[in-house]
Amino acid sequence: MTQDTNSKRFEEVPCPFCSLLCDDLVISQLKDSLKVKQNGCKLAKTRFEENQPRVSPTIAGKACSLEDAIKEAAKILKRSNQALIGGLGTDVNGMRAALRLTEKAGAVIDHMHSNAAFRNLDVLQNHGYVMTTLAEIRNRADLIIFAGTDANTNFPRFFERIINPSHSLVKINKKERQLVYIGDKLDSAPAGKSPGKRPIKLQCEQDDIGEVFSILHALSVGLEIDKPTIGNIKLSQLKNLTELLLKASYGVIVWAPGELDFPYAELTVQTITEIIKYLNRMTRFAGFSLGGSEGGMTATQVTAWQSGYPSRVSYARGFPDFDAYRFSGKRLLETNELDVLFWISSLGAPIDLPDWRVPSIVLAAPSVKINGKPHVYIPVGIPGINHTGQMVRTDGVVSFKLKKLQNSEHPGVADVINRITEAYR
Amino acid sequence: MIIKLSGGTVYDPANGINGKRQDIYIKDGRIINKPDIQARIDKTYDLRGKVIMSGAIDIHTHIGGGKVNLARMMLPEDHRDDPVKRTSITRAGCGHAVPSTLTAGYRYAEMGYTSCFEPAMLPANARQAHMEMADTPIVDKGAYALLGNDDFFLQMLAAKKDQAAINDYVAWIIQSSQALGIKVVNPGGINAFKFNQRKLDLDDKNPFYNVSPREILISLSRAVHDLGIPHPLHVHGCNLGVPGNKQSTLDTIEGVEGLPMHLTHIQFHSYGTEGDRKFSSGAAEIAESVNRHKNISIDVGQILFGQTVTASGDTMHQYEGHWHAHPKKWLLMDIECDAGCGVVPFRYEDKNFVNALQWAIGLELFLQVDDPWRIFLTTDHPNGAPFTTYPHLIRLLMDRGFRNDMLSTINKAAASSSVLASLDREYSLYEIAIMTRAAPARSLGLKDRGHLGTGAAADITVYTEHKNKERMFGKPDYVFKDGELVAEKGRVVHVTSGGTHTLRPDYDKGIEKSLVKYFDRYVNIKLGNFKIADDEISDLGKGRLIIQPCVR
Amino acid sequence: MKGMIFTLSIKPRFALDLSPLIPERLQSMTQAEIKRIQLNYGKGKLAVDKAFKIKSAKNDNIEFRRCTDKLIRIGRDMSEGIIIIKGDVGDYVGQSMKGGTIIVNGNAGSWMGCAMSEGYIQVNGNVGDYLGGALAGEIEGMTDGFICVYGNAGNCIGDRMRRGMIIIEGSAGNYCGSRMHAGTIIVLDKAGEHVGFSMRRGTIVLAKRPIHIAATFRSCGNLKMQFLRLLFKQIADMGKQYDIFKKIDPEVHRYAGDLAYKGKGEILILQPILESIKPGTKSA
Repeated sequence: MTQDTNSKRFEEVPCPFCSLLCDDLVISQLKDSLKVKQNGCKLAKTRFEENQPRVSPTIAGKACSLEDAIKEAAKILKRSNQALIGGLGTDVNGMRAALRLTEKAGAVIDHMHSNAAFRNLDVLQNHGYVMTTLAEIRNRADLIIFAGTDANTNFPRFFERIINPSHSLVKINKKERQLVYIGDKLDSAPAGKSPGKRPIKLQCEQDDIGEVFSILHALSVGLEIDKPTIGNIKLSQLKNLTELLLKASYGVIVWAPGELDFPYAELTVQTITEIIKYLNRMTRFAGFSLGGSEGGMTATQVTAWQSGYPSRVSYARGFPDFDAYRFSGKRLLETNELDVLFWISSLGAPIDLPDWRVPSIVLAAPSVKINGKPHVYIPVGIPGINHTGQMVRTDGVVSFKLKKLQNSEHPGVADVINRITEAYR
Repeated sequence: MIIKLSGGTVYDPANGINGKRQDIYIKDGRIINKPDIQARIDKTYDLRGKVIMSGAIDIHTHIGGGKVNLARMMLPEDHRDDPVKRTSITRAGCGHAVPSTLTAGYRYAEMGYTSCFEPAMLPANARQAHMEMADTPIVDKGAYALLGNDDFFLQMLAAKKDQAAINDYVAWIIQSSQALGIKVVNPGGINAFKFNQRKLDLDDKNPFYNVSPREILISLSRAVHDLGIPHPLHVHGCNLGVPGNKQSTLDTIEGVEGLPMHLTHIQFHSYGTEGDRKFSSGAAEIAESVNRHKNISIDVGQILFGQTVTASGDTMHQYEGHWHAHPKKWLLMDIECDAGCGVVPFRYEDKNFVNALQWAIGLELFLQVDDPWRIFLTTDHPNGAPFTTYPHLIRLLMDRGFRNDMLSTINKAAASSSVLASLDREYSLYEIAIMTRAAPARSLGLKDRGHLGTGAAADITVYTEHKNKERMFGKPDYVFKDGELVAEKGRVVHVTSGGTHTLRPDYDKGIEKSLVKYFDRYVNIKLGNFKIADDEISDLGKGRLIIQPCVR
Repeated sequence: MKGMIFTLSIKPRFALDLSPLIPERLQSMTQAEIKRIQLNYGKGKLAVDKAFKIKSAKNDNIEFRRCTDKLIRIGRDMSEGIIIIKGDVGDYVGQSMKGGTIIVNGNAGSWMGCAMSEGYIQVNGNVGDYLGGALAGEIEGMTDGFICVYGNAGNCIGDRMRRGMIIIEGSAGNYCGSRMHAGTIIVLDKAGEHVGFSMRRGTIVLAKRPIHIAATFRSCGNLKMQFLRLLFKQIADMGKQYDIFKKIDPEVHRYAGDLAYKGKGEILILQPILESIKPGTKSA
């Protein structure tokens, strides 16, 4: 490791720790520690500045060489009959390696947050949708509806970067921009600070959002609804909102699949995407989904181009076999249908190992908290800190090249997995 | 190591060789002159009676990037019946209309294709397009960057910036997105759709920028020409799929002021409004105009019957197309002040009047455009049909009897409203070699591809001549990529990584000043992060940049 | 053909895919050949005789005994014959079924009858989610056929269903009849929340008024529906096990919805509510 006594300064640093992938961070390095100087949110500060201790790989809790850990991991996978390659908190090259290993090991591959991802993917596969990307919202949207998310709690820079831009291409009068919140426990404070119109808040339970959008849809079509109130929302409020929907030049509905955290929320997502489709008969409307952090969107995209399917793919039969239900990693863990668990978390997400006696292989950044005892543990470097890499943003369109800021004695995920694949004979 | 391909019948139009028996020697991935008598020949293939052509080149195939990947994710039912198992040398994947990247590479190679070009790479999505192409094995790749709907360019046009500034921007886009050409899709229309405009003809104005498609086409064609980008502006014109659109296509050809221009999937732009159903073939007029305008090249975008998916940047027309989605699902996306995309699954039915006539129109174009150097064989994969249908399409072109048999099975009204039955032309092997090899290589400026002369890359396909051309072209005996045997009898035997063709046109770096400002203000991405570095293509040792010279 | 009895002799740890064991396929095989059929099990294969004891049956049925919820895809693609399942069984029973009969004497997992186009499934126990649902990417679920569950059903039953009949004599979970295109679902005990969510067309008959009917279902008042009288008679005629349908009066309160999707579907609530109907398991 090179020892720089002078402080180094990195500009335009992309942050891999949430799926917004803000790429304007300024970070300084002094000796071993990084400091976010500009433009980092709380999560970015925590993860960039976190101390990454030097730790050794272990087998059954005992320190071992990297080579032995790799051999042991290969051996266990080879013996497995149904392994899960999960977690997938990694970058594009980590995913490429993980898919190759999954194929060789006849395993199932799935991301730790795929329950959230499939709330959208189910809708994509069954009906499709109309979506937009960050720059379009920033420059065009005159009506933005937050459905079950305030966009702020989990994506703290969304407002700064997208809702309150200093300039916009289409010269939307900033004062004319209308924000609407529909859902429960949404923090509308940032909207209050925005220059636009007073935000509209419609309070309802998260799992009633679907019904609210169905009503808006029916009202948009011109049908009458005969119930005067829906939960805490008055029908008159929804009628007023319908007027806004039909009047908007470029409306956007933002949701966060991870925050629609109730069973069968894909049906709720579909009520949102279906009204958007309908409104496009008259005006322009699009959806925007905030999600896919911890490498989720990256995992989905790479799995899709290499296997044809977005996630939850089994290679047990030698070809990619997709089943959004049976090959859910979460379900496989719950039903104990696994004999090896292989888990990747290089971006910081803590790991909860199941308590049953199935050997687990864990590739994690040194600072990652592990609840449980991995059979094989291999510390890995962090993409965007210890090595370069690529990651895909929440809209699934824009991807970034991550920078290497700091050396690490720990190899990257791709490197470790490729060595495991080589050792797997 | 020297490989000798001995005694085959060679079709090499770039060098004027039309079915001549001759030996070919390969060394270090290149075709060499006949070596000295003393030189050791390490391996000889006895190819007496076999047909030899250079590796085929697909000038327009959607193999990578956001909309293709969205289509993959959207269509699990498309892959389900075409699973591809891993073997000791190849990776697993899936096929049909939107195959996995890995399977796409293998299947192209197995058909004797050695280069494939992604025609619609959004600069905002270029990094992912390249990552997908990097995972497309064996074949060489390249991509055309999409311009003409991005707000930066339209701002420039609206502000009447001079051509030099536009040229700088176009060159900058080529370099920063690692592209080989420039494509425009529905010029200005994708942008206009974001302002809820549903139609934009050649001289209509974008409602916000007050610029017309004609101005966009001229400005971009001029830039491509001035910069010495070998491949002419790659144009997906106005009014895709709209009955009567032949007029805008004819106007586009006339309107480009003699500049070189490539009109892609022209079949979708060759429709009239005659007849009871107000849908008719405009192929004769389009072909006549193409024949007359030597500055124009086209590819056909032939449709073939069956289930596929349409994936296009043309949100305006994909929106209209969604009413015909089969199965009934579709997606649209507005993208990053750059462009957009739409994915609509579709099934072309031979008994459906419109589909059957589309099929006939494509073939009419093939048969009525005289110069095979200016017409390329495409299905606009997957929009007209998956690329795996090419051998079938070649048979339709080479075998009049087969063509007429097929014609007799399609919708009667469509068949009788088409002149196809009266077109006797049959393509020769030489002409097929032109339109699938020599001509696309020349159009793209690939000097060492698409031919078998000394110094050319040893991308070579060997066929057994067969009366059934579908059989002949479906499973070549041997396919060599850069001198290595990669496929035998239609199966991959060795997996290599192809390169990526790009250009380095000159420009005034001053353009970055306004770009930095624009990106900071509107796109909210740092310009430095937007650009794709060379090492991203050669990452992992799987890719390789091949920089083609500009022609100035 | 001669029937066969497959008695599970192992305790499967992973899902064991029984889709090859359908009547029309077994018909032409010897017992020795059947024993050698390889079943997908984890990433490996398991020969039938490694998992089951096999003996000939006295009747023509294929019978699976001592089943567990790890057995999946029983009766997949079958188009004729009878399969009897004893014990609990896993997911995808009768997937893409094209005809024939499956009787489950026990509980069944999720996705039963998914994508089925014809045939009869009867469950003398409970079932999981997505009964009569659709395969990934398919717009339509079950396109025809008849499923009757004597126990309770899970969530999203009849999701994207196109045609056919689902009867739940017990209760149904949430999102009953979600995204239905057409077809009929009858629930004789309670139905959970969000009944008929985003349904396009089709009929959901409920014996008990759910706690909440969405605002996008418009009340059309009480009606006596002749088509229901005919339907119930037809069902009752199918056999003694459907005697209950002789007692049901076709008077309903009708709700039309989902208005977001043109409102051509309906939720019909039987009047008066049948207090006598209790969920439970009966034998076939």
